[in-house]
Amino acid sequence: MRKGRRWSGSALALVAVGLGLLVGPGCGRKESARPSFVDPHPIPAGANKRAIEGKHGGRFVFVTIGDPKTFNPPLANEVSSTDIINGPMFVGLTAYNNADQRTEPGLAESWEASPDGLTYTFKLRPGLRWSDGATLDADDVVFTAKVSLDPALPGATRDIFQSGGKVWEFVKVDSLTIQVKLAAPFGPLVDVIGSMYIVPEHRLAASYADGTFASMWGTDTPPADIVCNGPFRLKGFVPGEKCVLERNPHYWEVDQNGLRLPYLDEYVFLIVKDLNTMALKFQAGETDLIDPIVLDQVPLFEDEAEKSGYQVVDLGLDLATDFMWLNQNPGKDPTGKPYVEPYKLALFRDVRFRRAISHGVNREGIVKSVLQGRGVPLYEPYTRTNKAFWNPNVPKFPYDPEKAKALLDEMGLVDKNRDGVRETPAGKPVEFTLHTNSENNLRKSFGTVISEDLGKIGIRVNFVPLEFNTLITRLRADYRYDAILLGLASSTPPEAALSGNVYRSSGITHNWNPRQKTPSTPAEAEIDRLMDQLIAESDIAKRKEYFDRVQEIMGEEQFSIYIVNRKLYVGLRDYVRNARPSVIRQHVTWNIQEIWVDKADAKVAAR
Amino acid sequence: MRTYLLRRVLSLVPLLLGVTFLAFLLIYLAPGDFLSQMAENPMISAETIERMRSNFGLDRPWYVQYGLWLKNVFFHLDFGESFAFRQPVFQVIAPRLGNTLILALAAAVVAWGLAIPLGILSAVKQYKWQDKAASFFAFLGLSIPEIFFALLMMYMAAKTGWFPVGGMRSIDHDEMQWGTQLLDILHHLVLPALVLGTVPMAARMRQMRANLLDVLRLDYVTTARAKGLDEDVVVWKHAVRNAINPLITLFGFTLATLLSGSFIVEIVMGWPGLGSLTLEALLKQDLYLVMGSVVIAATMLVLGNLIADVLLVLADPRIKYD
Repeated sequence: MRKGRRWSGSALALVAVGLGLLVGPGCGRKESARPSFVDPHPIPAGANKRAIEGKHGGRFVFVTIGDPKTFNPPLANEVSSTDIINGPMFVGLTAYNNADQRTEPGLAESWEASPDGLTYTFKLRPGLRWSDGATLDADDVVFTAKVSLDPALPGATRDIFQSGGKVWEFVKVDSLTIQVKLAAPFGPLVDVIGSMYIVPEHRLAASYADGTFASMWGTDTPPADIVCNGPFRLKGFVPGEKCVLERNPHYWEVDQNGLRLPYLDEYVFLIVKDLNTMALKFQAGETDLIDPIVLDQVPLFEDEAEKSGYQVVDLGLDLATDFMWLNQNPGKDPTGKPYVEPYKLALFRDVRFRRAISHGVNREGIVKSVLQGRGVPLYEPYTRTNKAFWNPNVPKFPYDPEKAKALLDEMGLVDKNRDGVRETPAGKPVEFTLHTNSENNLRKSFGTVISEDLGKIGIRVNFVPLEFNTLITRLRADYRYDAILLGLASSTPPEAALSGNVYRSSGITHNWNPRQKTPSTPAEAEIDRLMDQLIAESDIAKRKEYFDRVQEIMGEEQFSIYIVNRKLYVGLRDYVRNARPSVIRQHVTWNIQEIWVDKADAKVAAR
Repeated sequence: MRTYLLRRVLSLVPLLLGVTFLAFLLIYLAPGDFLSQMAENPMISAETIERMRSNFGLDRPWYVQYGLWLKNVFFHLDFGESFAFRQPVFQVIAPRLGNTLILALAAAVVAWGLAIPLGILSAVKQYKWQDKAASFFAFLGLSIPEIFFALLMMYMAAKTGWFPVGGMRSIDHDEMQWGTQLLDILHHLVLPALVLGTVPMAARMRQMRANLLDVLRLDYVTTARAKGLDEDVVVWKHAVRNAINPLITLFGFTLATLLSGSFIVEIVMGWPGLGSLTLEALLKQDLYLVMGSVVIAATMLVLGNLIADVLLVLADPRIKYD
């Protein structure tokens, strides 16, 4: 036994060595003074001066949940790619100022519309250069339009850049002048044109000619081959780990002292697939921004803020909305079976029934119980943070169970068998199934409260959350559902003319009855007319008048029953300067070229 | 031996056929397709989506799609392109596979490096406090859910700052010397390897303990002790070598299960491996990327088992395959 003890000591030592190997080194940071910024290239003649000041150097670290899929703007159509390339790497003719909610000059320094609204002339800034030093001119814009509007490529720009049934035509006038020709007026053209991110003809034309454009600038491309015009260019991408952008030495904006922007040396996106890890990384100081903070975690973040050196920024009410609708689609599937049971369809298409539901939902209760006060009841399509289009006078049908019951009684829906659920005159129970996407915890709670509230006025709601793809299939492909609770994020810019697909009866996201050949109700016909007028109007005040009316009709008819408007929070490190957080996405990084980090150890990259 | 190996490798073919067929069928049966998520965006028209669907060949019946995929695999060794990345699937998978292998190997090292000494200690000190402590440790390791353990470790890392919160490399990794780079990766590797290695570690430790106890009761050990051999020599030279034999076989199996079991750890702890890629592909219904991952995972499983069998022959001269 004595011997046994001796060798067991050596076994323990083995374990200890194993553990010792596991505990690796810590990372130390060197302190050093910030050297001054040296700009190797001349500033372009037409550079845009911004009234800001800051210090060059340093790195800003953000997170993204998915890998970018491409670095080619005309091919990108999901946020994990567009968040990185659209804005930071590529810019358009115009740019959107999220804080002031208005369009500003971008690559174009000025523009002019013909009196008939059918021709727009854009003037490029003189002296613009691509990140490889080549000249950026009208040929690049015309080339970009060609690829962005090509029906054989998967971009979605084509769906917006048309009016009067025809895609807009881009014509070069001289090396700095481009004309856009339209078949019919399109009011918000200047606001929308910035969403076409200009790409370099000298790098991409050959691939477009030989038909390989659709696979150009994939994520395996050497960074130096990706030539861009935004404040940053690609430095490196490691799949599943990070995407690093570095200063574009040819960028065309300067600060008030005439020093070239951006201030940051590097803008890094860490790829983090798990939301909990994302939160922990921010609290541990590994990232500079968390956007957004999940609503129920806001108190946790506030508790840690001071100790960890960040601020929880309350951005106010979100532009996104949560709402439910009843399926009003009168169609039949290929086997001749109606999408919605006929007796239910009759209820869903009766405005009194929809108003009764609106009266039956206790929105204040949802705000208090589910959102813990972080939101307000919502009755209108556009929330009050939309400076241009909010309409406070939308007809409202707020929580009032007695009014709800009276409306249902008036429709002849009464509980004859006293089981707590009303019946139609034909004896069918008044019930429907409500779906939402099961990934969204808040929405699941909304659904539970809604089904309880409606139970109290005698409507039985079976609440069944579904996985997102299943839900979308029901909604878009087979139309077999009663009611859905979902949300709608806002476009950037938050422009009513861009929501044609939602409000027009022919639209694919006209959820309650999509893709109609002719509008099935007078109200929908009226909305279609208003949207036509709106889209042709270039004066935003007039566009608002048309859209006010659309919102009022939406309120009267309760096609969508709006539920709540949540608040939005982000977490931002204390040393981040010049940030102007806005309720519009990208909430904090939209002006990334102005942002700088006030840290002593921020380095300036040698050039 | 050579014919045996050949037979085993050839048996991969029907296996992969079956697995890919099932995978294809299941993905087809799942609602929606790669373009469903896009349909929710009000800025994209139905026509655009239909156009893309036909570009991707998703408008054809599933058996035609599967047939075409098989044909390309057999005649051109072409496993298709990822819809999302627009790159050949193995180009997307390759860097991720390397990372998963690193994690699996590290976890195996943790598991075996701890399991064998602790198992031996436990057996020699049967029913003593060392045995009880080791057993407690093992049962704790077996019963803690991997996902919870991973989150706990992440939380620990965030609070103490001893370890990075997830990921594989520091943000300034590229500016380091290669030696520091290696240490940097090791530093990031500790927690995921520990989490992933804990369950097999606990299981192997119990096995090692049981095996050694069995062997220590055998007559030849009694003989060795009776002829006055040093206890160290009895245990290390005679008993352990025989007791460890079955565990060598298990090494191959463990490697295979570690490869497929690392998914949860990879996702929670941000390890850029095959798991997180496959999950994303599956959720997005990026068909051929999922198929590529399935093929890789199945091949790894078979190869792991094969390694186990070969190791067995090397360790025990009595076993022969012919």
